[in-house]
Amino acid sequence: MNSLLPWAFLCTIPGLLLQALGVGRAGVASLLGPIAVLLAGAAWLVGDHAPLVVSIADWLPMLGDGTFALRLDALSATMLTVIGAVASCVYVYSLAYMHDDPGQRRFFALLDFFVATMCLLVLAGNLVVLVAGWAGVGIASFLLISFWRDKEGTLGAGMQALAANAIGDAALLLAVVLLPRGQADLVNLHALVTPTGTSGATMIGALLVVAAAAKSAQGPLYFWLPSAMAGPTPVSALIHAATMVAAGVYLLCRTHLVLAQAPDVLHVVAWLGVLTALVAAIASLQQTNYKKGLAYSTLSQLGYMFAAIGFGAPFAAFFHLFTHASFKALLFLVAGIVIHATDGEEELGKLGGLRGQLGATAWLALVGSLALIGLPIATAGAFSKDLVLEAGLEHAPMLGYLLLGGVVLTGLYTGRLWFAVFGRSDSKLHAHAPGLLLLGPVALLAVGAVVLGWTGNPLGEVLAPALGKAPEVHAWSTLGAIAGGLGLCGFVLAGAWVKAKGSGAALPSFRGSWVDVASGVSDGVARLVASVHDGRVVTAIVFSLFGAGIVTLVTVLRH
Amino acid sequence: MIALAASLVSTPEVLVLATSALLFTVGVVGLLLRRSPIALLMSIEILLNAGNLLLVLGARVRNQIDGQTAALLVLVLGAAEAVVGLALALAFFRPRPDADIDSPGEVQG
Amino acid sequence: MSWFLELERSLQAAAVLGVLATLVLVGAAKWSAQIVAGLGVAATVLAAVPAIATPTAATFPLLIVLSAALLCVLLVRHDELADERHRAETTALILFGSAGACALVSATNLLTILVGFESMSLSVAVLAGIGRGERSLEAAFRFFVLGAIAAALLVYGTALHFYATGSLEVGAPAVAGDGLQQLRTIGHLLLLLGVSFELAVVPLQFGALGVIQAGPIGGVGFAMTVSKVGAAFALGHVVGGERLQQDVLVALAVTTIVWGTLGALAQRTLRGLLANSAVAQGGFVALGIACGAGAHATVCFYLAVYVAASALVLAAISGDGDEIDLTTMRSRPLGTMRRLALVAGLMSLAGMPPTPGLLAKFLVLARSWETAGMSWTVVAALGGVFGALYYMRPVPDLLSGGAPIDGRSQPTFGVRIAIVAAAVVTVVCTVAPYAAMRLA
Repeated sequence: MNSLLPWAFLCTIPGLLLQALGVGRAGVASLLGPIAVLLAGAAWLVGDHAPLVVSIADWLPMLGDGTFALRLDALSATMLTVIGAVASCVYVYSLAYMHDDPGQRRFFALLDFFVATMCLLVLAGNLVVLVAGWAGVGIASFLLISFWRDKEGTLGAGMQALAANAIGDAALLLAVVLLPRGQADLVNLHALVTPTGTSGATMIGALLVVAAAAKSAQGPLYFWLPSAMAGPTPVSALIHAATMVAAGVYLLCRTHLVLAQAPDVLHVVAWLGVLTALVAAIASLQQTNYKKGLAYSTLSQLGYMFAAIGFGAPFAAFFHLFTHASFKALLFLVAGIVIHATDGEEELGKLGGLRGQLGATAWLALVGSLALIGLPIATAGAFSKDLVLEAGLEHAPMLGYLLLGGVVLTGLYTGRLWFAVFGRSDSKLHAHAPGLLLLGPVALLAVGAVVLGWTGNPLGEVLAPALGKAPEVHAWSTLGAIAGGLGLCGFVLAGAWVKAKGSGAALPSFRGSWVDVASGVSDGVARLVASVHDGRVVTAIVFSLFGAGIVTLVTVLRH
Repeated sequence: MIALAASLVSTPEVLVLATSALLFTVGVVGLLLRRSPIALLMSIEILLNAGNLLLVLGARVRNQIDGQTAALLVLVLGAAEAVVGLALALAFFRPRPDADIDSPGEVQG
Repeated sequence: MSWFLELERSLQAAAVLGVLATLVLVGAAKWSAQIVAGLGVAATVLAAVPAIATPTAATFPLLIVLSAALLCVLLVRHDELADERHRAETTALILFGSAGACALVSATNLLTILVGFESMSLSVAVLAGIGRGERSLEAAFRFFVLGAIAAALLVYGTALHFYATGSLEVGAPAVAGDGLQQLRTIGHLLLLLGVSFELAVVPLQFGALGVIQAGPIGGVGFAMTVSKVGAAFALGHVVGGERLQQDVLVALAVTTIVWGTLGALAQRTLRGLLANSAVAQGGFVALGIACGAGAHATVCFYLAVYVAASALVLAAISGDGDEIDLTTMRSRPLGTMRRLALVAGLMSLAGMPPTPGLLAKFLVLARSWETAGMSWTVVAALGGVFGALYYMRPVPDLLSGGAPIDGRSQPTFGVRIAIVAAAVVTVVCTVAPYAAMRLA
């Protein structure tokens, strides 16, 4: 039985097929899949903690390492649990949320596809399999972002995600290709890089970081995540908050020993994380769209995780990933309830004052918000953020203080969103109260957002073989108290701000990004290329003969 | 100039080589400059015959009969090409009396 | 006189196809085209069977050519051709051309290469122009002119090689003499460029671009699959292990990948997208070929995956005219089978899991890193992954669309078989690529 656990990524395939064949009520047949994933992860965690390995040699013989390798160890089991838990909540939630959508079978089939590829990603035993999962979640994300084709801009948003993913996929492909033959085993990657020297580690490390940054929308590759909010909200909760965007962090945790050999790369990662954490926090304050505000907050928190990796504290990063999954999914599902209740309204300016009509939702949102800020002892976010800040102050004090200051911004943006939507109870919108299917999963996640922090120390022990010895997780520390206090200050300030300016309170935004320029340039070049094919025989002859001559001559002369 | 050329063309072998290269050049220039489909087909024939000349020369110089066989085969290929080419040109340009390959096409590529 | 004595399996297969094509043509007036196509299928399979028993380096390429030819024959549709008789002619031409491709996969003799090349390129030119009016004639004429120029380059390259070496074997060394080594190299470069035309390598991509956009579906299938496979292996023999030729081909291949990707990004119709993307795919094949004999199995795998994916896409769009606007995919009455085939084919061409396209690209890049070096590989990888941007664009529409299917959109029997066969190949290449490649 145990030997079957690494095949957990197949759990959702039956559901996918049943949806495709149209069996049963839409979505119901898929429910077992994510629960099975959760059980598989949990079964390993309560077992004897021996890594389970599946290795089918000669899957891909022309590559040095053509093995189909799966590996279920502490890291992947924890990830499976997270994926399974969040996905189960999101599936149940979606039963209600997507109830009236004509494409709901397709929706569940795509979710099943996503969960399968996401599990493949975390269960991968070597880079070859990882690449398959990595590209798979990208494509699932694209298809789900573009799910509502009647809604304007969904395809464009999906294409942005696809473009960012393409950069990451290329980097990962090159990393695999660069490794000497037979050396793509994820666990022993660091040992195998060493013979090629520090430059080898730096190069592979850099490629892995690019791949991770693309998946986790870090630094200049941030652009697709806010656009991805065009997709259905359950998708935003599952893929673009809790699981897929965290895959970059997971990858860097998995390969932290490679990065440890490349101090330059670690340094860059730390800076990348800190800058993303701060800039995205400010950008969140500029958003007038509820979900985009949340998206930037996700970016900011992912920045904290990257920074932790850069500080050489993978456990802190992973633990933050773990707790963040619960409260960020919670916040997104709350946003979904609000949007659902107001028939698709996403603009903060029009959403104000819903506490009266959505009372229970408001309190659950408050729990999630406080966890995001990191209220000590009471919420899980405090435990993990504390670890990140500790690592920062220890390894790079300046960056650590920057992150500590960033907590004020966390409080500000979290508070702004909460007060804007739930601050008053005088809305003129007619919001219908959510049913049990919508509220239940949110409540479950809220429990997670409160208690998960206490799992820190046992989790650290379990993860020690994978991530190195974990630091002690404290419920209370001076640093945590300061951070929590700063965050609460921000939260209260935001309350005052919203009270003064109304629900639409936002910083002025700046226009234009490098993405617009890049896509403009690539469109122009593409049109130029296409215009060479103008249908004249003469063009064809001249281009062929001269082009062939030039390419040949240049190569011969370089020789 | 002529003296220089004469000194370069010292043996019959070099003379034939030069002729073949010249024919090839003529063919390429014809392809680049002429606008009528028939002239195109002629240029292609010239290119083929430049190759043929070289094949026959090779057969003689290297004392290998293969070259002559090859030349015969190329002639056959040339004939096949001419059949298909003329048919296509006729079908395509019949409704276009001012047969000009410089006119923009409908199909990209 | 060595060249016509090397009667290998591939040449036997070529002969079988040739005879069959003649039969098809002679009997065209009397037999119904359905029977003709059926005969083609049976005979092709029969020709392939003896090759499996004792595999050589040419066995797998030969099988790919034959299966691709089979798929093309299945795709021929009479309803898009002006005359019922055209169906038989199309079938015969596909078989003739495939005979040339069969000869090419194992040919090391320059005359064999020349004859194989000519039979492919003339077949494509006529195939493209058959029975489909102005647009396809225009594309056919352009393909013919460019193909004839490529053939002329091939002839001159052969002549230079023969003059320098005294032999028509492609690997023969130059005889001792002033400048003969250089002449041989120039000859080989001309050969390389000539053969590259059939693979639609930039800057020789114009012919194939037009044919894929305007030709009838069977001809398009031939130009996209069979002729590329044949040209790829011929190119392998021409390049051999020689460094300079390899470098030239790498440069051409990477240019092709980038050019094809950019060109496809600007397209608004499905055919245009396919045509430009086929150019980029040819670039990957050429890159694999440039990596020398060590990449033989990789190239075979790539081509097998590519042929299956192309067949899926072509089967899905057969009978739908050539101006399929990408923005109208949702309202197109495709029906579930063709819709899924199109999604699977596009995903495989894009190199997206769970389709085997990803593995295929991956393997080519691995070879390229070993042989062609880092910078070329990086550019090729970027070109490859950005291909996803255009391939995936219609997919959400295809998945969400739901216009009711009408009579004309029902796939024909042949198209159904083609879809199933290509799907089986695709699945096998995903689940057990090793088993698929053990043949190679």
